[in-house]
Amino acid sequence: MYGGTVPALENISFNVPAGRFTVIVGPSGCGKTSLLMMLAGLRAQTQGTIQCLGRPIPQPDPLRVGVIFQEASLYPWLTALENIEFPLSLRGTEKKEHRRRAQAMLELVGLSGFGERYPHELSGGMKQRVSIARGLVQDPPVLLMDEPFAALDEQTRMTMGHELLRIWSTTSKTVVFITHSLTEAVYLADEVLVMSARPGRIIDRIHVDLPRPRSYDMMATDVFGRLRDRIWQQIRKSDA
Amino acid sequence: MKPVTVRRLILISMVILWEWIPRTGLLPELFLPSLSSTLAVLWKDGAIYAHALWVTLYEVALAMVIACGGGILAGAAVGGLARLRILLLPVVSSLYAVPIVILYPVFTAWFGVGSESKIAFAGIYAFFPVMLSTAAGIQTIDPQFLLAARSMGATLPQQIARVIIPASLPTIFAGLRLGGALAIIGVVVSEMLTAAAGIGYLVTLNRTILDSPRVFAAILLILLLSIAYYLLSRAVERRFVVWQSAGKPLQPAAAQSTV
Amino acid sequence: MKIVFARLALLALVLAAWELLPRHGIVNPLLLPPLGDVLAMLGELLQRGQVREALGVSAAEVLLAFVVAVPLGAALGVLIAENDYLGEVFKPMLFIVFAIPKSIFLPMFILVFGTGFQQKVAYAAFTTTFVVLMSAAAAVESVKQDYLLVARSYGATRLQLVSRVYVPSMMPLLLETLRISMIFNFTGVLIAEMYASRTGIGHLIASWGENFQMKQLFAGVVLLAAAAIVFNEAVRFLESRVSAWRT
Repeated sequence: MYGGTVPALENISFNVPAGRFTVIVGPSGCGKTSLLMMLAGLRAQTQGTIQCLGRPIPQPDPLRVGVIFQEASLYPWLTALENIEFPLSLRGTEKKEHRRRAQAMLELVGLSGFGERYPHELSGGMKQRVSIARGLVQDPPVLLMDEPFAALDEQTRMTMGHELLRIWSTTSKTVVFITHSLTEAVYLADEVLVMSARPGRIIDRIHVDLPRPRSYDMMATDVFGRLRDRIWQQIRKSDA
Repeated sequence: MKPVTVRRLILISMVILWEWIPRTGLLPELFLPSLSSTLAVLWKDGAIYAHALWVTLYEVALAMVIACGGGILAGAAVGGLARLRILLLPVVSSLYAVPIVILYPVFTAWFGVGSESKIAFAGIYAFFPVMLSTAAGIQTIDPQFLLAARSMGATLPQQIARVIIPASLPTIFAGLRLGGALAIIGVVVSEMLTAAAGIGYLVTLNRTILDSPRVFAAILLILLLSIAYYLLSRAVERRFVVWQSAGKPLQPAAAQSTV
Repeated sequence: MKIVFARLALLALVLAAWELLPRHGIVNPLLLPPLGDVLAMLGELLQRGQVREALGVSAAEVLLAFVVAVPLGAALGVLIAENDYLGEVFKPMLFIVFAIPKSIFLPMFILVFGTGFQQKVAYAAFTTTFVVLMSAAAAVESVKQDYLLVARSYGATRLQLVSRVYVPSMMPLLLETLRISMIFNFTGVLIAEMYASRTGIGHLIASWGENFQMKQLFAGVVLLAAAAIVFNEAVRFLESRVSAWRT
């Protein structure tokens, strides 16, 4: 801002186990997006080290880490299929091969038949699916997702969350998912990292012991409610 | 009645009136020569008008190089680079308030009565609006686009070629359309004021000798030229920028640049 | 503050170049007289009766054309914005109208009005009306439907809608309309004066140019540019005062 820096994060230290679905939840402005940018190699940390699969990540490495943003950020001049192919075309692999992989991803996210549509012809949920397909097309072992469903209405959010779990279960990827929705956090996660308000610190680590595959009626259970309450209490405490 | 139909009717009735009013003497032929006499003159002096049109088009083309080439690049730079923008944009917006036409006598004094003064004038006349329009357009590009590209491992040349340029196409096309229209206006005005050739010159020349059919023949050509350019650039824009969001608010060519 | 400084520095640089380059012969002083000489000439010109008269004539034309064009254009603009059918019919035509050089109609105005005062006012009013029309239509369309809906749900009458919602909401845009229209108005008057007139500052400038009286020419250019910029900035200032609430 006007000279000087504002610390966004403080004393962050954690391990994300491979193959697990980790959710980071916290109030707005707590620095979760900054954290994700650093994990993706899009921003450099001022102190400390970040290791992904045993190596540092000073700049974006799409073969290791796929990033999915809150705004789908699909390129409006490309069709859905071309958007999914885009990362592949940056590396210059063969065109036929691109098509095949992109088509496979399109089907994986449940949008077969919509490949030739342009982003402005797609709904919010569909755009995010394309964005997810794009993140998956290079088959990175790690997937970072920054509040991807925040711009969607609640019903679509629930459907998309469910879809995401389905897609994830067919792969063995490590997912780090950011949200400010407590329900979404508990529903999706194996482990929830709770962050405080700025400067963000990790104030709790909650293990979600619900069985997989997750289902909607789990949201009505006591276990679910208690987990959610716990997160909420922690966040409120940190605000005080 | 459908709006399109109404417009067509208006157009047709204008053509009919153009022919009919002078004939019936409602307006003297001096004020409004009949369409047929205008077309007759155009046919008869076809070579003269063709040559004049050629001169005008040449001047417009070169003026467009200055205005669109320079304007788009300058606009992209000013719009894209925050420091430049903060420094220069208000200055340019203020300069836009000055009627550029006051510079025309300067250009005729410097470059003479030939094409150079017209090209210089029309070039500058169109430059500022194109620059302002491009600067505004560049700023509407979603900054997330580049972030997404970087996350996918795009190199800088790839970012420019695969993201920035396609994202800028609507703005660039708008700049070309605006620049061309304004270049035509600038050239025509300057040819009417002080010239030795060109369609605008023919308007003035024939006006002073009170040859109305020839004046209107020239006016008709200019009308056709500007309308043709407008329709052509719109068609090209639509064809190439098919993904552009529909339903943009109403904005006149020049007022567009007062962001 | 730094930015204002930088801009002033830029201005100073340009002015310094204008003064020094011709004076030292790097640029031909016959083509571009040094700034000092131009300003001195400007002072001299402002004392001449002929120049003052020309300025008066031009100012009168500008004012009169404006007074005619603004109500006319505003009325038409509001009509097009409010009436969907008329809007659909005429809006596409307006785009084409703006693509046409309106100066081609000057001969017609001259034929009808002669080369005097009325012709210039009529022509300028003609060109300005379209600009006002377009801007007014845009201003009316900019009033958010939500604002109107809220007011109507509280039982606002037509008059109240206009005075309590439309006007305050449109005020910044209205001022901008006036500002932009004046720019075009000014241009229109000058073009008409330069084309076929024996009075007015536009005519003076054109004849100074024809006679290679460069000092006078540049003095006139500086004067008109300054007048335009001052007017523009004054209205911009007003606009910012009125639109503090706008995002």
